[in-house]
Amino acid sequence: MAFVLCCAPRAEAAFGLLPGAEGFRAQELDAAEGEVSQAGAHPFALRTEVNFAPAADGSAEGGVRSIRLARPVGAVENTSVVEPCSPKLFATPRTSPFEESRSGEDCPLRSQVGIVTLRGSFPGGSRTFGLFDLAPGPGQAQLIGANPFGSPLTFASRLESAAGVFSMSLEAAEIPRSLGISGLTVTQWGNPWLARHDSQRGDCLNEVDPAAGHGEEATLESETGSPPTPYMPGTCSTGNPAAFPPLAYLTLPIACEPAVSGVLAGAWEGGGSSTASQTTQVTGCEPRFQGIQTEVKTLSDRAASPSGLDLNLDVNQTNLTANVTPTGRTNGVVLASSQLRRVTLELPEGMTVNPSVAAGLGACATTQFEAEGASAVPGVGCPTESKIGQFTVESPLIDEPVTGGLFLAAPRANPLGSLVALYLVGRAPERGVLVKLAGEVETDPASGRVTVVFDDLPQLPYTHLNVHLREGQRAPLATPALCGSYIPTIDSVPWIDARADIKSEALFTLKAGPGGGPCPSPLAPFSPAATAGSYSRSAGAHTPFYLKLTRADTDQEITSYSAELPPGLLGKIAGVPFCPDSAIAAAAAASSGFAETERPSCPPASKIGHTVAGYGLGSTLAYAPGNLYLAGPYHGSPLSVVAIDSATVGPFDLGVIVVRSAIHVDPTTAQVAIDSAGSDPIPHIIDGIPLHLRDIRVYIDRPDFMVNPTSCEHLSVTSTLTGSGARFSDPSDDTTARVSDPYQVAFCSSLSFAPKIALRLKGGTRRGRFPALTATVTPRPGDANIAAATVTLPPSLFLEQRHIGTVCGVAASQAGSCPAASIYGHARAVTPLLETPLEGPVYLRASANKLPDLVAELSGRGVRMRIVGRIDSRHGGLRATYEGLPDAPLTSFALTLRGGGKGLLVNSDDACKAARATVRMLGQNNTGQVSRPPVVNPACKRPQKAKKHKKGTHHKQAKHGKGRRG
Amino acid sequence: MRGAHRGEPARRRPVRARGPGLARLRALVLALVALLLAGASLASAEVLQRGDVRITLRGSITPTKLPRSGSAPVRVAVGTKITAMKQADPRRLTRISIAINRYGRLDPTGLPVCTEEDIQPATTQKALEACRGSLVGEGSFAAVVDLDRQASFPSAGKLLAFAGTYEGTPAILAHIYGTEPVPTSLTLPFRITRSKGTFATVLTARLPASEAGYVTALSLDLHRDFSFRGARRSYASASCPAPKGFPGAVFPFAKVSYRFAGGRAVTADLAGHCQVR
Repeated sequence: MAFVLCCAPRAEAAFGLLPGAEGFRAQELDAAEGEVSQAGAHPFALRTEVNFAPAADGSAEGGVRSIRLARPVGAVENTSVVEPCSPKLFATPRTSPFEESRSGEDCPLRSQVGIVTLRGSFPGGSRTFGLFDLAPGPGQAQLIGANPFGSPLTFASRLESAAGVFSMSLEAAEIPRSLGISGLTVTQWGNPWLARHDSQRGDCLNEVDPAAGHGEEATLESETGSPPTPYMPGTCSTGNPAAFPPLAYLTLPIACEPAVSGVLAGAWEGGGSSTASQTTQVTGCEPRFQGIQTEVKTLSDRAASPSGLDLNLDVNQTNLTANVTPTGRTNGVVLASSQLRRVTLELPEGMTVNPSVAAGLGACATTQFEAEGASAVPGVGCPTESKIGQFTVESPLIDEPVTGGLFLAAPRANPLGSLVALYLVGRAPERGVLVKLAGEVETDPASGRVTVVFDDLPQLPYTHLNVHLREGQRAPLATPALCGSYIPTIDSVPWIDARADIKSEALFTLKAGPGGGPCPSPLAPFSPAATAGSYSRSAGAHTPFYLKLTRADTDQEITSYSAELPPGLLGKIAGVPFCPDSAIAAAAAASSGFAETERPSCPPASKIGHTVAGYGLGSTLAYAPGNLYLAGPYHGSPLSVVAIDSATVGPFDLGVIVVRSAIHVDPTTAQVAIDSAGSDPIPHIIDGIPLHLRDIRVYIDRPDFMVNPTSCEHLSVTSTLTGSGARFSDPSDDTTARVSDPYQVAFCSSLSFAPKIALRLKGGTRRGRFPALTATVTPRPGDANIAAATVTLPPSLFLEQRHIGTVCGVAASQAGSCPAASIYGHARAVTPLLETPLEGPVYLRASANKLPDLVAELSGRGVRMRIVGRIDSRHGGLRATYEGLPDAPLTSFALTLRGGGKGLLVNSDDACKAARATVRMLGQNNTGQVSRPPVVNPACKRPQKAKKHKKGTHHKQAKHGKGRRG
Repeated sequence: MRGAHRGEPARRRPVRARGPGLARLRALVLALVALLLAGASLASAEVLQRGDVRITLRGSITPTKLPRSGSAPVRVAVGTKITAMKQADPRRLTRISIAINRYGRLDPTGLPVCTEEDIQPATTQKALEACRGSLVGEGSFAAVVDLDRQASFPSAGKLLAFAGTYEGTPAILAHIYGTEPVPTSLTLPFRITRSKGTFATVLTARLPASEAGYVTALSLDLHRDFSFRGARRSYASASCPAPKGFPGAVFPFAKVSYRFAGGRAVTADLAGHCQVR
């Protein structure tokens, strides 16, 4: 109908239709020549009259080259009710016993669908010919035609679709100019095989005066009376209606909307065209249905599994054609059943979109959808990778089914504007039939429940419609998590009246679990698996680290996770700026994951790795990329990591998922942990699509960022995951699972261990003075880290017990709020992992030992470390023992104890006398070192000469066996 | 060894002369010793409890056979133990005073003078090296180390007594050294003062006001024989205060006063007896 509405008549050409109804008129008529407007009615005849401005010779001015007759939307011309005339007979001139026929055909009686009366310059000015059903050619749905004067005049029938509406049109192209027509009247019979048309059928047609037909009309079997009158065939009858029922060829639209008919004609001369239209109103839209059956079935009977789906609509189209009694009389009360205008399929709760569908999936752009034509052209139309199913329509109008594909429309960028939309593209290329539909998939934002809506379904009558969503691992749907019976509902709205919707239910049953296993229990288990490791196993090496967490389909959903890295596996955050909070907030507010991938919110300098998240069910998951950034304080922790994942799987862009996790650094072991309590929850559903997060992969692969432990002890990466329990939205039933993956580096023995230590006193050298002491440890780069150290001062240094005043409590120590009075010194550690040194007070802290512990509380860039030394004595020397030191590289470490009035040390002898400390250190690689460094005091005027010791006792390395902490 | 002999120049350092106070002290102690040395064995013990504090006090003088007049060298031993009856309520001793009967005497004449700075802090060995000539006795100590926020624990060590001065007055410097849990030393100066009456020699020590612990036991065994200007001398000497016609006597040997933090004071008396030789 588009041409009717859009094209104006060309005024400059002499060629043209006569104005008004004289130029064009289409009438659905009953047997009494009254007009019919009843929706779904089968008229006795459809008469279409077209007249052109005549030239002097009686033909149309400019010559009629083409005529296209557009039928109202929903009007049906069904040639399947007759038998086609073969091309050979259509080309065989008719020989009539009653007159000299001018028709160039000799088609059989049962192929005639009406008559066509031509007006023109030929002798007599008007002549009528039979109109026959012909075998359609390629690209033609139907073909009817006449052969006046041996010049074929055929009308190809087209099924047209535009903007969700369907219509038919008859087009006569290349009309022989030799016919010299100036007008024509096409009369299509509602029921071509009715006996009432016997007088105009075949040889009985009086081509000059069709109202005065030749021969005898058939006598129908009486329906009343006794004995009944038998059927008596006429001269040009099609046969006994009992054997050859005169089925309906014509049907009025079934929607009570304005019915627009039109004509577009083209001229031989000048290329001119002329158009006209008329509008009538279809009436009588009382709600009615006739035998519609719906069926929905999942293609998997397994719970928590990928599944396709079949939607079948079967419509009984008996009334489309069977409006004649067995005796051959029309039954006016038989109306065609209404076609469905909208079908809404609501899947049961728990049946959701399967994210796995997006794996390798493409999308069909609107332009590609619009480019779809009746013939498939390679490279044109929806791409194959966007196909997620099949679509089949069987119509009584054409023999072969209309088949095609179900394509995923480009998310959001589709005519429906929805995240998930479907394009149905079906075609019967041989018949030139194209069916294009857009369907919307709505997903409940909270539950993910799926509702599929197909609106503006064709008024084209169909007997069977099948929508098939593909099965397999990449099936578009996910079945509910539990076995049992589920009831999808279907709401069908007919064209005839939107209020007359019909709700029906289907039933499907899930009988097994994923993979055919047992049905999942109501409270799903939660047994996730974890794999972690460093790419390089070399102790102390810089190497990327990966962590992979997976769960089975039957497991509960993952709502959060935490991970404890093995001690000594650390990150070098020196030189890595924090991603600003504002950038993180911007990422969280972003709506496009693709844009985030293209232009990440966080600066590249903050990136420490990347993530891959796998979503879906079954063995095929859809993976979405993401980046991992270092960020600042979060939820009370000084550091955090933020995973900014573009929720882009296949063509879907669900935005950006930001999960920020607080990093906890154990202050005594430097063990790094991702704290779930201080982390954002993992989203479960986005835009109504449950993510079914199954696979979390974290790659910390910034160059020279992660550094391996220098201990080859058996360690582990421990992850704690939270499962959603029975109800995702209810945290009270969440369960946790703790999984560990062994972690061990190698080649520790190849690491050296030779840290240097220097001890220096400052202050008075005489007995009773309280000197300050500074101990400086300088490990060599590349060496094993220090695991334990014991420093035994020479006996000449006593602990000044009277100066032990305030001691910090354990709780205050852990809170970092030790009173100033408990501070007795200062410590400073320089590590290559941080650009700023860690430093802070040295204080006495309550302990379970006899004496308080000597604690160095270090902090820098938010990282807090607590080095705890146990104080006792050995061989009369004051001894400080540090065990369980963090496996972290150090550039230097200096601890200073104050001297003077709060000095903890007191000279019990002349400090200028030579004295040595005994230092035992143990590397994380189990290599020991014993040294006896001098304790020097620069205040001594003469150089302090230490007593000579036996060779090898100053610095002695020893490999320790077990009990390295001893 | 920095000490100087009393009465003659020391070998390595000048002798610090004893003043008139020493003469008076000598008379007092002589009286005490005369009283004490009444028998071959003079030993006594007292146990008393005041509130939640139990004090055990022991003392002895040997030998017990002493001259009625003049004096003889003796060994004086005094020991005390303080027990808190409630663990949660230990009593912190802040001052101890040992008053000795006037028949006994302590005479440092001829001994080098040891000062606190000579021996504090130092190990026992170092203290002995510094003030060996002033050594007049030895003993032991026990204490409870009670550091802030730490569980209390007992500590014990050796005690050396050196004759010396403290802040200008005669004193016995009790040098204490312990290694548990860490090496530490403490010098308690017992000031020696004179008094009238029965107890003429008073040794008084103020314990440091540290909150880090408190003394629970202390023993002191004074005895030193030495030569000075060609004569044999003894740091501690006594006579037996038996009246004429009596072969011996029972007499008040010592009075020990304790003062605890909070002001509580406890006094205990020791009785002794001697025989006239």
